Amino acid sequence: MEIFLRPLDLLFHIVNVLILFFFLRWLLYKPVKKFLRQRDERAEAAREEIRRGQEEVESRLRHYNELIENAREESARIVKQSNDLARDHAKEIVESAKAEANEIVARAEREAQYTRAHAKDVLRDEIAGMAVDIASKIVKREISAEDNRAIIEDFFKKVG
Amino acid sequence: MIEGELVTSMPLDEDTMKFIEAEFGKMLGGKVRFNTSIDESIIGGFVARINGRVYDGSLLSRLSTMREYITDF
Repeated sequence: MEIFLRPLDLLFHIVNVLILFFFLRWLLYKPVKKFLRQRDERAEAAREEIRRGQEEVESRLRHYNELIENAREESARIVKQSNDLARDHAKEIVESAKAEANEIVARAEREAQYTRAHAKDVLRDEIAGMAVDIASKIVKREISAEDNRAIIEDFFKKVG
Repeated sequence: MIEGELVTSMPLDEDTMKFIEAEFGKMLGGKVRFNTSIDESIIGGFVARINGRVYDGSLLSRLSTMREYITDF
């Protein structure tokens, strides 16, 4: 069976297709395009929201990192300050102990010196007393009239 | 005449007594006479008191001086 298409029918079909095309285009294309545009806009908004969220997160992260770093530096400073303070305090204690020890040693030396000197004086006095007592006893026992005369003459020699 | 007191550790013979009086006479410019007494504690020599002054020539005095010298040495 052969189909013959007359030019007028062909034209008619073409016109029908065109009308259908423009009708469908008018009916479907704009809503679909609008839907797609709105979807793109929502997606863009969501991307923008995500981007802002990421920026916010990064900003907060940076802020927290700064806080952590500051806290770390502050703690290190406090530890160093405490160590310095403890070291200074320990140094003061050692110096104070040294000074006290030196004072104790000096006092002990002074006391020992005084005790030695006092003991020397006492000993010297006792020795002198003993020597004179012994000499007195010997002289009393041994002295003769001649000796006595000699002592008397010696006095006048010295006075004269 | 100057009078004084003379203390000795033992009795003195006359010659020694005259010697002492003569020496004091030369020293004081006049004749000196002593009342004598014995005190053995002065050991030797004499102690004379004339016109309120004391002349200590005793051995006790010398020994005391020696003791002070040793003590202060």
